Amino acid sequence: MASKRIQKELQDLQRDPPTSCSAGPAGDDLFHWQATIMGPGDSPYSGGVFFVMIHFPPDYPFKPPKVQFQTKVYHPNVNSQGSICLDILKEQWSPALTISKVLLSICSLLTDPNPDDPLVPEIAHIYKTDRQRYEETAREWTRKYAMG
Amino acid sequence: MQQTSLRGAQLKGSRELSDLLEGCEETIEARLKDSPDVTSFFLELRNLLDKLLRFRPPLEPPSSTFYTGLISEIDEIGWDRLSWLCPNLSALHVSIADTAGRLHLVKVQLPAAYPEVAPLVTAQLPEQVKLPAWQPGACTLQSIIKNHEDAIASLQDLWACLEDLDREAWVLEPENPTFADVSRRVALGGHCSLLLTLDPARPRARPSDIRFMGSEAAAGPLHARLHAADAAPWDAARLPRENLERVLQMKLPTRSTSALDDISGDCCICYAYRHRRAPADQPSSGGDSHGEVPDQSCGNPQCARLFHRSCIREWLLALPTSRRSFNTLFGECPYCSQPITVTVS
Repeated sequence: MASKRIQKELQDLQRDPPTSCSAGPAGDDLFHWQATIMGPGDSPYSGGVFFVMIHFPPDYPFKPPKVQFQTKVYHPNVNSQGSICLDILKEQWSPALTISKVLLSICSLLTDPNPDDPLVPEIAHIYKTDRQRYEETAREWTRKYAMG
Repeated sequence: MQQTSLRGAQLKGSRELSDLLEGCEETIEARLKDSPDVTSFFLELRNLLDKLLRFRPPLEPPSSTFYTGLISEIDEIGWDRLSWLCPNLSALHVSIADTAGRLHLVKVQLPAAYPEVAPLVTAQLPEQVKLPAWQPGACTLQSIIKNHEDAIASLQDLWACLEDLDREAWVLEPENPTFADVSRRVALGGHCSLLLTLDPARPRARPSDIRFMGSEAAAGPLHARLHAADAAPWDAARLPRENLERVLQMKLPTRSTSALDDISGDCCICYAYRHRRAPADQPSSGGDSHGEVPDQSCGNPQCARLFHRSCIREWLLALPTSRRSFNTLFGECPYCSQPITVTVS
């Protein structure tokens, strides 16, 4: 049952791809996808291409997909393992959401971090107290890890 | 949710079994993939073996009269009409073009004891169509083909009516209709669809079975229009689609005029129309036309999304905000957050 839904999401993504994101199965396994997110233009991640791994649980869409950055990102809500702190990937998940909407949410999280619910408190602290330093570091990481 | 699969399993057997199954590797692999458990796989395997044993080339080749008889029978039909002939002459396909240019294929498998034993004949015809049974001595390949030609000729209008639906409406089911399918589920918009089944003998008569699928809010008014006393009478001179549009007072949406979102009538949780049930309930054939359909809908007319009972139940049961009172679950629609209820049986 999950595979039917995942297949349809894939079709919809191919027919009507969201701006600045793409996603599809990484290999033969329909439950294992890879996505790319272009760093939003109005963020320090601009110009970077970020790889994201998506894993669908067997009881998808009753349970949220597992989504992880594979590219290193300097962000208050993304830790060094690539885990993302995003409510819709946890308790706010709903079957009304789709991978396309999840990727768009991650895009807006890149533009607007949520320092009040941080995964990396140090980055959240810098974000709150020294925005310029945060932006510089985020830009540097983007150059280093998400370009070329 | 407890779907298991035998994908990746391997079948091993005696030399004799392996010889018998030679050439069926792809079929076996597909059956392994589709079978939910070992029992159903073995049922499939038994069917396959039955078929193979019946048509297994005998250890002794058929007598020469089998071949001479067959050759003269094919002469009668005309060799140019064969679209395929098995190298060992145990099976053949004959193509029949109808007046509208549709190409039909009649597949014939010949047992070694043919013509004393009936050949196995398959063709895509509606199941209501009954062809004369095989009578040894009286029937020939030519009579088989003639029977099919007559049946195909009598079904021309049925297929014309169905093709009109396929072309001028948005058919949701079956996805790839064959000449045997006489039912169509067409989209009406607003998460609502209509299932109609044509009578092969009288395709333009008002179908006895017209069913609406969708929320009460969306399907109710259409159902009322269909059964209204002053509804336009069904005109047997017109196509079924034209009659539907007249009676329902609407133009049926087509793929080019509508967006997919509110058309399909699929469950908005699993995105499927048919809910595949637990393996024990799963029939081995025709799985597409079995299983639960989305019959639960959000009562909010702006939303009106459809769900399988089992899908919305499973979702609500997992939420801490849902309440249960006796047999009823109270929760929120995952799409619009308006209250939704579902019975727990």
